[in-house]
Amino acid sequence: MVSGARANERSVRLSAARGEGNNARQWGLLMSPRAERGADSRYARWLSDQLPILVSAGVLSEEAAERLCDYYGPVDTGRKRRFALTVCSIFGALSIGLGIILLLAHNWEGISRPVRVVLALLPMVVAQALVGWTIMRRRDSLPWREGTATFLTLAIAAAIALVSQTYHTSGPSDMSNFLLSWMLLSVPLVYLVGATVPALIYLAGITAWAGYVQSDAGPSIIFWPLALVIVPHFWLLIKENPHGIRTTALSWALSVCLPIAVGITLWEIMFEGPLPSLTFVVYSSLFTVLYLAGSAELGAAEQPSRWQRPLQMTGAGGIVVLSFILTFWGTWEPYVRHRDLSWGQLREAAFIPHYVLAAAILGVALWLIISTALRRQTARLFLGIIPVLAAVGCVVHAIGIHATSLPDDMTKRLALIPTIMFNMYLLVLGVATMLAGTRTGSIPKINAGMIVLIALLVARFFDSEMSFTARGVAFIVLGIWFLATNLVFIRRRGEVR
Amino acid sequence: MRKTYYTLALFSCLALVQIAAPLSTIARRELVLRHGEQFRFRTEPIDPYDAFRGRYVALQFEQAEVALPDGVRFKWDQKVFARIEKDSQGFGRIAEVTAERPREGAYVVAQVRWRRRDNMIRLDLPFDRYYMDEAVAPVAEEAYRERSLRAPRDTYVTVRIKDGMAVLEELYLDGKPISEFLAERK
Repeated sequence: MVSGARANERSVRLSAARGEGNNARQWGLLMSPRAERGADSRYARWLSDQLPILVSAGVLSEEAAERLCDYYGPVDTGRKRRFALTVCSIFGALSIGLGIILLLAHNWEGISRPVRVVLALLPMVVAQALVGWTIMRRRDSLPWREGTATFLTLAIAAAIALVSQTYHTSGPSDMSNFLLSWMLLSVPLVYLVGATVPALIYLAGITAWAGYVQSDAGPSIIFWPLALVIVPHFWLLIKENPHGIRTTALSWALSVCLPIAVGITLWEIMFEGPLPSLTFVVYSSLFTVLYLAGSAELGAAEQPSRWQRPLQMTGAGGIVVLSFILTFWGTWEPYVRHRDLSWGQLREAAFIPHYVLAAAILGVALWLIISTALRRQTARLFLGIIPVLAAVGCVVHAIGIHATSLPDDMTKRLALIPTIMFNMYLLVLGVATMLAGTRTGSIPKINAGMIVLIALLVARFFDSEMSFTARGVAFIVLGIWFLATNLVFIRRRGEVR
Repeated sequence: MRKTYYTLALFSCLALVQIAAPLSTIARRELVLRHGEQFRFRTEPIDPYDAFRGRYVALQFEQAEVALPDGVRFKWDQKVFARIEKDSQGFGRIAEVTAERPREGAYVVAQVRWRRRDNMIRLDLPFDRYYMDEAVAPVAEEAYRERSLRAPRDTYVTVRIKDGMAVLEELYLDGKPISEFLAERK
């Protein structure tokens, strides 16, 4: 009993020293192995590395070390090798494919059109043969599947590019046509070969496509049905291993592409409509969806590291950056007040999908917020509550813009409501994050909280839109509050000197 | 094993589609090049860059600006049909811009780039890039600049048009095909 308590204490000390306060699981493995046996290969590998050191230091006898080894079973040493092989094959295929694209882009003078046709099709046919062979003979080999599928994806691009170069295809929607045909011809590889790299290229490609289409005033909203094509693959990856390298890579691509795509596809209703602050509601909802969905436990055996939780990280980062922008009075100032603002063409049926999408993002965010609240995961709601605040701000801003009977001074003062609200919010968020970090001994959390607080203080200190007196009083009150809380904390612990 | 064959069969279909896609593009353009009506368009070449397809000469057409008759209006970025006819010197010019596909005559699909209050519009024509050898494209642009300083310009492209599809055929500097012009310069 006593030795158990001591071991516990030591493990907590050690984990705090390594800055991994939350990793009670890691030491749980040593304390109650039966419960965790075989569950967490990362720690089993760590243990197998440690055992010889412990034996040579005389901490463990050789028999004890052997017994531990037998108990946890052999460590899977092939994993690293397979990982390295996959990465090498992907980068090899990428480099060769891109090299072919560049060579063809040189546009060798004096090559006749028939030769060009052969040149365009040759890399593609070779890549197709490789993929076919992989399906037949190397179906279970991830390096082969990813490598050949990547190569074929790029060979398709090379073929289309060479043809369009030969016939000088150009004109307004040329680039978007090029991207769309490339993406549609390569995306089936994701399912036929079971490869993720084509899915990554596809996501990036359709996002770029949406950008080109939007700049030509085309139907960029089609991005969303196109993006849905990836969902089953993503789902399979999550089921296979929620924190595996392929799941993580696709999650990163999603968390980069989705915010960009929302901005592109909802451009008209967010930036050209009579409700400009709708942008904040949509984006805060999107980041909340990413954050809360990314925080969901997926029943993985291993505790994921930060970079293995891209949705959560991007969501949280997005929420903080957006809140910071919303702490500026200038953001909420109804400066578009006397402009002609009407729904105009935004009333047309062509924009129904846009409203449906915006409503869907809001709806999913609300559903996640409510289910998080019902599960009493209040810590997550600190970040997750932002759409509600943004909606309040949006209403106030809309009144400021559209209630033309109100005097200008009044609407400017109205804009103070969301401004103050978001300043308070970010302040509470920063302090809460810092405290949570101190409580669990998580250095990154303490740092994140401090960065938020420092950014907020600096922004408000130099904020020329507020009076010196108001800022001065607010800073002093804040300072007193900080010191007072500190004092209360210390008193409560009885450590005042 | 059966699953492997199904996958392989599906992949073979995909592979055929992947091959057919560029081939159909090639076939349609070859048809236009063989049977389309030929037009010349005066142009100014400048030399930009495309990551996938290499260097090209971006063409700016004097004829792409059109005065619309009274009462005809198009939106910015609208897709329109430009009916093309030959002027007295044999150069192509836009005779008419319509929202509906013309029943007869040569026409191309274009997009309204901008419009002015006096009802002038500028169209983006579907042939504004002439892809060239990486080493030659800048030389072509330089040659054009030198020429245009000394003498009246005689720079144009020939375009073949058939059933609304336009394919760029050749770029002419000083009345000669670009390859011939550059060969003489060397």
